[in-house]
Amino acid sequence: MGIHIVSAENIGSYAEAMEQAYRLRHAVFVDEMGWNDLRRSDGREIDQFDDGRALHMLYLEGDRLVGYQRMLPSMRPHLLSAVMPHLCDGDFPVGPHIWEWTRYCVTKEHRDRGRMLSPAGNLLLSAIVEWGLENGISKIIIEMNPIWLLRLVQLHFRVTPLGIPQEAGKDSIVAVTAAFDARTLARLRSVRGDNRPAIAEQPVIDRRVRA
Amino acid sequence: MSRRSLDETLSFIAAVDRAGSADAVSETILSVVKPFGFSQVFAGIIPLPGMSAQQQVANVVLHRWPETWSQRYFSQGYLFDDPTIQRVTTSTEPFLWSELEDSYRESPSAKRIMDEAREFNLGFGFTVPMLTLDGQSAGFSIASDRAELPPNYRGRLQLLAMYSFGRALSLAEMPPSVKLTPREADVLQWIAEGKSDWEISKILHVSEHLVDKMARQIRTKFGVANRTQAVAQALRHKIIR
Repeated sequence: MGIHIVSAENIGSYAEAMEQAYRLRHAVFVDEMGWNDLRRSDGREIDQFDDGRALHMLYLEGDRLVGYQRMLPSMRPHLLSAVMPHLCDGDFPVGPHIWEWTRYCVTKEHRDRGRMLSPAGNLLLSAIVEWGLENGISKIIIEMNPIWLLRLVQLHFRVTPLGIPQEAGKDSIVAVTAAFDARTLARLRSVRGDNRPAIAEQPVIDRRVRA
Repeated sequence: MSRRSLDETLSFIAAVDRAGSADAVSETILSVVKPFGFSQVFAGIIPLPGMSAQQQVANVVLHRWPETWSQRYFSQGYLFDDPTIQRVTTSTEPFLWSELEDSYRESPSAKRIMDEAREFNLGFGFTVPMLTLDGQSAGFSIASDRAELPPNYRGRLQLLAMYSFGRALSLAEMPPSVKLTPREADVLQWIAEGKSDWEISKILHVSEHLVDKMARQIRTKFGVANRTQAVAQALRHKIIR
């Protein structure tokens, strides 16, 4: 139980879970939210960014997928730079310490209760911060409804808008960066009431090979 | 144009982050919205049905609103019939009060509240719905007797509302004794950057002695033994960043 980080190194061991992830993405973003551009006849939402450099974070309870999110490095094409550049009025935030957070979704049963941040949502966010603190990543790019901004600020993310909120259908969307540090993690854990790490499994990276 | 909007918004956020009190936050907001004719600001967490007038008042976060109107509003329990409150709890998009007129045409109590508000110079308003970490609805309103709002300013005001409200909430969590003067906050910011007293004295054009004195005042205000702790506290409470 917890968040499993899946990259090119270990995706082979997560074939079944990734299948659930692509289906959850389709169910949430296409069927529920109506992003029809992403519709696919096989019910699996996969796009051009699901390549070897994407990092998938899977919230698994046993074999069952509860939540999902994807991290993309800002050094390569990502949604803000390639799909929604109009949301960014200044320079694109780019660097090894900046990644983009996309495709956050949670199964219906594990959604926010009474509009509070759900434990599943908290765990997924906590996983980003834990992973970031361990790997020298300190900032994430988010495209979101501006209504979530206050919540991120209250979680001790330092949120900076990249543009002014714009209309997208009947909702608004804004691009921001959210910087975090150890205080953010402490805050997330205290809100969750649990000091244990959110990340259960992550690919073993041979640092000697990397270096 | 959009680049300028962003830059102006970023300076506003920096100003709000420096504000040392909820009142200073209100002041910063008003300085931005006055050119459009807005002279009043109000923000708070929406009380749950059945809450006493006193509990309702405790939910107020920013208040530059006609005092006599607030007294009347809370003592009469207007909150639960107020159409702007209804909208805040059911929608995430900012709105002009004039856009709600159709929704309360059939409700005499709602119509009376909006008519009375007009008598208190709150005839034209704009409200931003928000959602707190605890899942509570919150609202941020600016108003006056007469104002106008260019459509492309809605998004800017939405950002302005969120940052103002977040800042005011974090100020409310702070022990009330810890309020730094702008000059003290400057000094602490430079201490946090690792500057020496001498360097700070050169940057701020004051004597080194005064810098040392202010650093000691800051420690006393936070009730901490050393500068590092003062910096940590100030960062935690976003007095500096």
